[in-house]
Amino acid sequence: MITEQNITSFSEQCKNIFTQIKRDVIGQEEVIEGAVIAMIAGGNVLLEGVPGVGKTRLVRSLGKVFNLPFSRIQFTPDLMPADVTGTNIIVKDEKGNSSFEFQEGPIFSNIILADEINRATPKTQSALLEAMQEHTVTVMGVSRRLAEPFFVLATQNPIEQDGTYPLPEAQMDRFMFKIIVKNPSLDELMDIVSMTQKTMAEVADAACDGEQLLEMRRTANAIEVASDVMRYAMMLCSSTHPDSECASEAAKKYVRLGASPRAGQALISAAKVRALMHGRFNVSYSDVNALALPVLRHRLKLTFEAVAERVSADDIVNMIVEEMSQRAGIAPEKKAEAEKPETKKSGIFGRK
Amino acid sequence: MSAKKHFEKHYSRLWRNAVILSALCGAVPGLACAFICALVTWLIGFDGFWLSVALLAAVTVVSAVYLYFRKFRPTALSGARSVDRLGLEERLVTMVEYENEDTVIARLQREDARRELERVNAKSLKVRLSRTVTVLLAVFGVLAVAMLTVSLLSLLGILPSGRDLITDAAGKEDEIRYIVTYDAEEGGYIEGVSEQLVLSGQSTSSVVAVAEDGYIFVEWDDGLTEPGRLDKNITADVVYIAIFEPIDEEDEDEIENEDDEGQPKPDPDADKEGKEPSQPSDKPAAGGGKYEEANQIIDGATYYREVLEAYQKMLLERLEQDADNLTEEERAIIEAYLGIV
Repeated sequence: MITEQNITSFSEQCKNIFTQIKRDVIGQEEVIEGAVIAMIAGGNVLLEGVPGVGKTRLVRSLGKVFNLPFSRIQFTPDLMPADVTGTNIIVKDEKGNSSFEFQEGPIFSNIILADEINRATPKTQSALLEAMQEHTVTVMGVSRRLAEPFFVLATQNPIEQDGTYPLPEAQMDRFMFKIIVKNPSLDELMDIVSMTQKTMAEVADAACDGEQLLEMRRTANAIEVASDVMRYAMMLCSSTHPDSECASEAAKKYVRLGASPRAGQALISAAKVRALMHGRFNVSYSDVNALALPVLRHRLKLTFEAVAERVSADDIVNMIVEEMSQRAGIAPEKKAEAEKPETKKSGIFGRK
Repeated sequence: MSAKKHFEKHYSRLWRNAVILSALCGAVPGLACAFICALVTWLIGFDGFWLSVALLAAVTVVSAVYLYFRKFRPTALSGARSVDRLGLEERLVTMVEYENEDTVIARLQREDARRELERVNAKSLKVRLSRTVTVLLAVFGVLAVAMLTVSLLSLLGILPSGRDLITDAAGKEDEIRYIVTYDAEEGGYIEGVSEQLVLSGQSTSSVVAVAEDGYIFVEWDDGLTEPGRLDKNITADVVYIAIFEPIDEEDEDEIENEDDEGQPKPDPDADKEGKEPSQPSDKPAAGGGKYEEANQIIDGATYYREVLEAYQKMLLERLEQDADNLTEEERAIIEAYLGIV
């Protein structure tokens, strides 16, 4: 049962979360918002960016801010699944009898930082699949439930492709968002350097705990979605399929495989959190449009034509959003917002 | 769901917009019908101006009423969608949809939506015509006004009806002309207009094939043995060639045995003793026409020469009396004849 107290604390905790993260991470507001939305909505996040832009620092800060146990797994080609999930080891009791005992791997934590996830072999990458979707780990036929809340925040470098194993579609689909971490602006760079001259350590304090995070998730889930908006969100997902009934022209031309139903679930869950973060008690088209990019960009399998014409997944998602907005008759001001989601920074939390 | 309940302040504006939209959209079929009616009646030559105007009004009213009740009548949801477009971010749609929900979130949402709704000025709600309707309205509007103007001018007698125009145009197309050419081989020439432009089914003016000295006319290439000709009911381009041949000595002797008109002199005893007229030779007679028996006896009893002499006498008398009033045709025939003689 959601009370007014839940709503009020949601707002306060959100304010606190952003305030504390800003103490450690300069700029990257869109990335921070995306990561926080995904964590409140219960989704996993894939952060993609060149080395040194603050991906790992952001994830460590999130762990501190949410006051949750945090594990870091550095993915390398020789990392084995058991190194991630844990394994049964033989132990002897006082009487000298041997028995198997499960030794938990680093995945038994609340926040997992899977650093450079594309450096591990597909076998090891797939060890995360069950954990990411069902929040359980099965070893030697025994399933073990992971502690809630559970998140995987993975990073990958888009440049160094030698010795990497691109994530398969099934694993990509399990990430709620793929967020591109861009290079900081000049002012942000100056602030970063000034800050790190004093200390490299994270200084953020805890803003909420795991229980409060789960309460925030329940509160956001109670947000109503009008059938018009729900239909629009599903139309957006469905239109990424070149052979669907409402396929967009961009999808017909550039997409080989579109977004799965998980994308629709992710879009609505995240839109509810975003709406509440922006002080609304209903999901709007602008929420859906703003989140279309991080939700859909990694779920599209592009055609050769798209690769040859250097059309990126982001370009395609933007084209789809524009076309669907027109088809749904959404007012121009909302389309404009969809085209420039990064410009929309206002909300009840005063983040400019 | 009643729109009045949720949008008390904005309902009159929403209703007004719905009526305007219905009227504009209803005008599209009205204008189309008026255009078609005015065009058809103008083409068939019927004064259909007032009928078209009546049709315009009737179809527009019926369509507008139908569209109002079927599509544009403001409901709570349609009103919410309209107002939400002003930047309310789907607050009203959600409010209307979950108006019976009794949770804290739903209640807070309704309060938020009503608060935002209060800020919306009713005058901001404007009529939004789709591009398709705008284009159709413009196209049919122009066509209907243009056609009604034509229909009115036709009714006033300033413009001819479409039917008259079509008839005139069709009539001109029927005026097909053919070229009839009269030509002469060596030894003669054509007296009269040798190349004539003749309307389909009409007749040519007469021409005569005239032989030069030392030649005689044999026939036209289509078998006509008379040198003068006038062709009727022309239905195609055609060329007629007059054929002449030189006169040899034998023929000249024969001509000497002929009378003045070039006919062979008859046996004076033939009629008296019940004999048949002397059989002329197969050679062509001078002055035109091939010598044949049928050319000598017209109806089995009347001798050709008697008729010819009578005609010649009549012509000569007329020539003496009224030479100036001869027609071109008569003049040509006489001159040709005299030339042959």
